[in-house]
Amino acid sequence: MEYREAKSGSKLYAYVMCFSVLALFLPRSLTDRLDHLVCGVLSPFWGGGRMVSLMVSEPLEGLDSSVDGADYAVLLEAWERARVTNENLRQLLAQQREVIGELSGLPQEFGMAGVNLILADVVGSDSSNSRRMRTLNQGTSDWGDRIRREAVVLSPLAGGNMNDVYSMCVVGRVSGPGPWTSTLQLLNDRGFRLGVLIVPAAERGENWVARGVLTGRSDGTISVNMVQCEYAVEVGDVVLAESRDFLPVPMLVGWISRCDWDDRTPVMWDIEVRAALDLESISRVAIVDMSGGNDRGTAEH
Amino acid sequence: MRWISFGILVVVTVIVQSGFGRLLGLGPQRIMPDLLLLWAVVIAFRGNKEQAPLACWLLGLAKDLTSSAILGSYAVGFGLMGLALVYFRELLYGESALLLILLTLVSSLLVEHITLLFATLRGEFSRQEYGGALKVILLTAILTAALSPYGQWLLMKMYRQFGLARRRH
Repeated sequence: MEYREAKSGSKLYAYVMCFSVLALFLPRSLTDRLDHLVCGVLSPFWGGGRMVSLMVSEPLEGLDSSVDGADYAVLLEAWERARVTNENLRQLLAQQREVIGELSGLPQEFGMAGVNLILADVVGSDSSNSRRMRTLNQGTSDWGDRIRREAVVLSPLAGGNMNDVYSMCVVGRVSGPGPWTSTLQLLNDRGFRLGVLIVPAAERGENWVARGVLTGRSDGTISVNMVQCEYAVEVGDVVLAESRDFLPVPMLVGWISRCDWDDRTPVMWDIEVRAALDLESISRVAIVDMSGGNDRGTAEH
Repeated sequence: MRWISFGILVVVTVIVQSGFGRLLGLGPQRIMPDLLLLWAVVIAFRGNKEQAPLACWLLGLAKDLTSSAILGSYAVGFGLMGLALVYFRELLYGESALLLILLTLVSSLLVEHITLLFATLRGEFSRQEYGGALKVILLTAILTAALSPYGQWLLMKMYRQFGLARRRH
């Protein structure tokens, strides 16, 4: 009896291992559906866990701050928020100037007007430390194809208003919309790619635009590649996301934290970017919906 | 192995790991211990010889379904790790915490490298990124290994519910 049980156990193990090896060859489009199914089933529990973690973390954050430190933190936060808003508004104005310059007689929508934001909560994360993915609690069952793959995702600074799009920053893209949940790929995930603009910091008073490709690295840092050395890039310059299909106006990603000449291609910069937000602590996001139309759970502006 | 209790353990662990595990993470990147691997090592170290590899496989599958890894990569890694540990545990003496820490460390490194290998073969990971990935893998392995004695203690408190042997033979 024991021998028969042992043999059946070994057989079952052999079958499941064969299944796993076969599953390695399945296309991502199929296996991602299974992942989304599991996420959909578990998301109510994750949502409950998120509520618990928010209840625990919010009182703890105030424990070790003195009065002076708290005031300083509030001021710093307000200053950061203003800085973000300022950079985004600069791009809006530049676009307005361009349109007016073309002397169009048609009614114009500038910046993020005409774009809807689908508000979502971050309810879970990738169970592996190797990837920086988050699970959002909105899916195609409610929004249809308005949540698209590669859609840009924004998030406000801590304490920011979800209805004020110009106080938000780019934090990633939707990598896989599912029926009940969607997967957000953060900027610092190793597979992340996004076209970006680099503009000089406001205090430099210079006027040029460099283009590059923002890439997430496997150690969680963010770099920008393919920026030529003809541009006088410096630490503190602004990095903006540019994606005409998914973002009507460039939006802030962060600031340059380090720039050196690339070892492998000396005519290019090796740039490291500091994200404007702490990507590990985002809890509410807005998915940019370029399809138009009004609906519940969206923010208009 | 009591499979219903084991199933509850897997579901609870997945909810903790993916739900609010990041809150417990260390450093700016919130590195979390790999709780699923921790249970797999303890069960492979202590569990029934025929059922432990299957249990490890199920834990790997749970990790596959809640991560962005290729489906089957963690399942294969956990399954092979479980099988290897079940066969080699006879060569190991004692139940000391240091032994479990070393086993967990080696297992975590092995499983993550198997997963990276599959990702490389599928074109989802390039060798240039290995340096950065290794940093994260090492930190995860160290953190998981440090928690492994506590994980074993917790699981052995409920050894009857999980059908584990109270002592190693």
